Amino acid sequence: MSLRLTIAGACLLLAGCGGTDGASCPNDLPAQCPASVPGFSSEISPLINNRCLPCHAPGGQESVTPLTNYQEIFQQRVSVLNQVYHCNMPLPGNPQLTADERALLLNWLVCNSPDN
Amino acid sequence: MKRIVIGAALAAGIVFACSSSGPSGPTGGPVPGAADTHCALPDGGTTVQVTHQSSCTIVANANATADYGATMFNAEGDDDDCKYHVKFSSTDIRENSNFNLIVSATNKTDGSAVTGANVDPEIFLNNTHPAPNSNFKTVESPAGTYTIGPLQFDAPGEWTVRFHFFEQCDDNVDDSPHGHAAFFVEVP
Repeated sequence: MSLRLTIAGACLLLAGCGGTDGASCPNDLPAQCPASVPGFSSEISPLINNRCLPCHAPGGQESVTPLTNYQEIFQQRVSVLNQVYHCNMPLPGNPQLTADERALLLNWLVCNSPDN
Repeated sequence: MKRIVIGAALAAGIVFACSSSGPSGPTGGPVPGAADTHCALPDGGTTVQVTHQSSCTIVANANATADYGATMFNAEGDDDDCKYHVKFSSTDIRENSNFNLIVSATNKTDGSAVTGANVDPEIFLNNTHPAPNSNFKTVESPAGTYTIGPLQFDAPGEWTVRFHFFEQCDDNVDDSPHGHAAFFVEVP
């Protein structure tokens, strides 16, 4: 009986160590730039317009980090990659990226964000 | 007796699982270099930017743009806007091992602890290589000191660790509490 309790306690402790508040962010960064690089004009720009511009545009909550055109996005590509990859953006309470959108954006960012 | 041995083995396993991997080999840390002086004035004085919590949610300056400031050497320096003095240390840093960062910040106005800053690290090796997701937490204890972990570096090299202070605040006016301080960290 006490052995079972010990094992149960150990499992609980193991589950708790190093964890977060339950929502785990996937380790899904592409290992390298894919052969088929997502297109900025056709895929990335519409995605960013839809998911990011509500805040990252003049008048928005994050207007100091605008993402309204390629130059602005390229300038902040490192932060965009970090924030999206670590699931910090979009902020909680806002519409989130779908799995496909996340994969698309991460694939473009690991290709160093080409204007393609 | 058998139960005691099994319990001890489980406890040891727990400690191992919650700590970094093997404690061997060289450890990394801050990259030594010129001390940060970006807030120093030619007359020997110091630039100090006052902050106000009331400016956390102001959307005022339509032309303002974010500037993260230069990445700094050593383990202390001022944030990009000269609001805070920032120091950091870490547990042992080794490639692919969990470690914690311990960050403390004081207001440059009066040296008081910067509390409630919800410090968030942005860690990257280069433009396309962020640190792996480790689902870290930031815990403030004591006031003004933030322990962030578990974190990992998954490659050797000179990484950038940028701390964001009051990331939840807008950064549209000069006295917003929002701030950044970035440091180079070498991973062997």
